[in-house]
Amino acid sequence: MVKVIEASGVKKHYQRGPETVRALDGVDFGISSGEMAAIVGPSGSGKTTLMNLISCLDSPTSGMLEIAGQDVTGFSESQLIEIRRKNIGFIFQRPHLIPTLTARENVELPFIFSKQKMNGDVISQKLDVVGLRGRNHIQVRMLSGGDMQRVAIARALVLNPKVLIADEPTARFSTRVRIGMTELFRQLVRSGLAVFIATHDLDLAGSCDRMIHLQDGVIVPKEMSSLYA
Amino acid sequence: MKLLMIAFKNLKRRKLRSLFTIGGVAIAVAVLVSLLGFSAGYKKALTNDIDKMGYQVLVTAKGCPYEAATLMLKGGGGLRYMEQDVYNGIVSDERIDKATPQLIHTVYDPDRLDGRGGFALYVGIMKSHLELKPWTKFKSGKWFTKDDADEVIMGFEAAELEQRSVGDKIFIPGIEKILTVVGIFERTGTQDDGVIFLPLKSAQQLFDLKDKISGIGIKLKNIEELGQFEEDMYEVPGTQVISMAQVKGTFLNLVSSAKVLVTSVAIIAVFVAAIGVVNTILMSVFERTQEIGVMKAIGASKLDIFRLIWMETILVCTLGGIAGNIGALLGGSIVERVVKGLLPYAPEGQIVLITPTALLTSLIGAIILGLVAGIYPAYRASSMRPIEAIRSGE
Repeated sequence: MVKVIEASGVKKHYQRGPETVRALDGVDFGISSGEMAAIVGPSGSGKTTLMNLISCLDSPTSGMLEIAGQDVTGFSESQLIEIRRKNIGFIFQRPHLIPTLTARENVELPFIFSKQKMNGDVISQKLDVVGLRGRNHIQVRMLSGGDMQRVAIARALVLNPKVLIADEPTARFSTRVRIGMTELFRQLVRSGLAVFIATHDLDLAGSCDRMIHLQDGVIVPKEMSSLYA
Repeated sequence: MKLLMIAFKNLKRRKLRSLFTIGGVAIAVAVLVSLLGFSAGYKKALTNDIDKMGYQVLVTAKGCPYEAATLMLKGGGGLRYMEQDVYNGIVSDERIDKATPQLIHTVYDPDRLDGRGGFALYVGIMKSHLELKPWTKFKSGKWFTKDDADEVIMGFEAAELEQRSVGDKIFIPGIEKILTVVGIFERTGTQDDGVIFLPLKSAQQLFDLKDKISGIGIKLKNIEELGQFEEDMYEVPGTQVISMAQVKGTFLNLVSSAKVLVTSVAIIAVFVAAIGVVNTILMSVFERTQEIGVMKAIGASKLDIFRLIWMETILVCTLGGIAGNIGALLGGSIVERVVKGLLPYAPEGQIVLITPTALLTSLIGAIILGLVAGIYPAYRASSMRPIEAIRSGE
């Protein structure tokens, strides 16, 4: 098992007027390939900040953050984009697809942005993996919400990232869709992908290999988490 | 699939809004094309009209020289008359290559234009008319049988309008005279096509203008002697000399003033179109804030987003440019009719000449408009912070 993400003493402080907001105040954790971890915590606990940092959308104030073996602390924006393109797949609460494009065209987008040669076989294979075989050329606005999220997952996987980061991926879906998606995540983990999920969905979090409880910007033991209070 | 295709498909999301914006650009471009076409066309048509008069100098009775020149060019009533002796006196001047006198007169005919009534233009001429205008050929018939014959030769369009052919009789209302058509000229593409010609002497008798003429058209042997010739002609009492080059210059100057006004309108139209484009694209960027955030999250750089939004703007303006060019081509004849109706003197032939250069210039102008108008929306989109953008609608 190779460490894909390693955080050590990661802090993120913001200045809001005279007040210093300690969104993350010294976080240590790691995720390996083939592991599915959930980060849980109440609103304002620092989940989103942590997600931004490990997906290279933001930089820590201090501490060490390694993605796929590279310490990204102090990286420039263009270096972070490169790390993101090569190592990280991202899915959100909503699929955020481009409605005028087909499922396949949406999945092609990371290829376009990374200036890589388009690989049709990989695109077909990723659409197959998420269970959308035969629906490649349907305009995404014609798909159900669950299928749209599957297209978003295929889009996140198309450049073969090392880690899939999911921010509340099941929050807007029915139980049936949630169960299907959880199964899909497990299937991806079995293929060696690291999956890191921020969620309020305790069922989804419960199906993960590990749960990280975040409260007031620090990782706390399960019994101290206000989610269980 | 390329960024350009994504940009194009984005425009199809709000079809009506995109169409209105493209329409705004199209109108501005069509105005621009028509303006450029008018600049080229009017000068060419005016030059053609003046060149086809066949003479470089016009001698008329004293009065407003440009009114006289206009009336000689397009015909009409109200000309002053001078004595034919002036012609007889100068025709032997050695500097003159060819000269011809003309007597212009209009007659109201209540039966003209399918009973709506209209003026018929009669011009009394001598054979020297054909020497000055060697391109004038007979479509049918021949020259007058004698200098005071009750005969006419009709210009091409005048004959077409009245459905006349050689041998027909025409009646001049008010004068109660019947004349015989002895010839019809071929089309010349000038005002002469709408004229009814008759022998100078006959015209003088018919219109009770004995020994009077409206003007003398003169072609000099050496155009460089024009200045001196004009000065000498000022000595002849009751006359004035008009150089056709001056007339052309004056008309072009008059039209230039109008062009400044129309150009101002065109610039305002382009400016309004540019604001419309910025507004539309900016609105579209704000509507797609989350989507742009996601694109950044999945690997799009600032430059990628800038290029995408810039492409959308350039596409809108290019499509507007193409639509404007097509509109200008299709609507050219309407613009021509309107402009001709507004001008104090409209030459024969096409005065709104839409050239490939005008079309290309306007299209390039539209693309430049897109390049400039797209900068701000593209900058706004590329500056969005991904997570804030994604969270904005949740």
